[in-house]
Amino acid sequence: MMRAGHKRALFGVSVVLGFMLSLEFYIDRTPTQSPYTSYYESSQQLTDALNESSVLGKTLSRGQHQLQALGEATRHTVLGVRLLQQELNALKAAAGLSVVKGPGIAIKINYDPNLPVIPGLRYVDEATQLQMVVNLLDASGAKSIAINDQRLVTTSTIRSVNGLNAQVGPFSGVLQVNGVPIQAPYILMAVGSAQSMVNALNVEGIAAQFNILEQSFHVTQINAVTLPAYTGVLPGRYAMEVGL
Amino acid sequence: MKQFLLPLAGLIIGILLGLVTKIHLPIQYASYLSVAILAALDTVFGGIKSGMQNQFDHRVFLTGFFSNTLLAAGLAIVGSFLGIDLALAAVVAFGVRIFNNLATIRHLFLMRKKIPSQN
Repeated sequence: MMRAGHKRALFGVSVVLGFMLSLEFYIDRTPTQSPYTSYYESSQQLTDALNESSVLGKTLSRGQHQLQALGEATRHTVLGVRLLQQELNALKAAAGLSVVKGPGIAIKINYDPNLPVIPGLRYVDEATQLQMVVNLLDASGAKSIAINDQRLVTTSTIRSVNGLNAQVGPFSGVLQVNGVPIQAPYILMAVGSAQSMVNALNVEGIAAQFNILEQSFHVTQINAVTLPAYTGVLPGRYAMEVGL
Repeated sequence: MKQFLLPLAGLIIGILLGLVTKIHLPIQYASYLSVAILAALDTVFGGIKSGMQNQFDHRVFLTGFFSNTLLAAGLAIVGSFLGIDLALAAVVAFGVRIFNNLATIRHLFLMRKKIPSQN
């Protein structure tokens, strides 16, 4: 016959074990990125289509306005000249040829130049790193971006330049943006919704990706960011189209 | 058979208690709980074996249950901080012990059934 102590021990242990087992039922082991359901996909497609329709509507409206402005301009009146000037200014702003001012963020990326080479890694490609940040800022609603006062436009390039500096380390320390050499610290300025850009950077864990390579990544929200105009070579400056 | 009714009732009560309280455990702690459950199961099987061998001591059983469970979960937590999967070590150790205990229980059970005169 079992003693009372044994019974109590067995009962207590069973209750605790049962409790622990039941906790397993409430653990959600499904992956956080669950596969899309057809409903979700359909609603997403509908939202995309609606957004696209809205954008196309705006483009059509702008085109009609432009057509009207050009029609007015053909009359060779003062109003026509003014309209042409407005059109030119709008195109300049869209092409990044004018100074831009507005709320935004500043990102400062820096590192200790005395850091030793990371074992197994020849060097850190800073151009790829900056391209990643620029693409993310663009995707999160940045209207204009500049790196170390080099305004980024559709034809801009960001290239790593190795060998221009003599320092030994994992970083090249020199980049070419728009063909102009720039040196660390890299300061990216972006005009747009600051909160949206900061959120995108946080969600992607960009700062952590830089920090893991011992690079600092500081984001500051600024009320009035001023970005310089693009001053580089424009397409058609040297090479002229024939037959136009 | 009657001796299994009390632990079974306890197990059911424990499960019901857990289901009623609806404590949500984050997935990050799931591995710790799993290792703790494995350690608890090892102690339970050890207790069954000792009972069949008439060597059951409730003090050893209780202390073994709680210390093994806490130690296993603690090892897993320390391992996650050190970057080593110490939970795996606990799984292997307790897994081997559970199978050994089960083998002994099976042997004891079969011997009792087949050759009752020898016991």
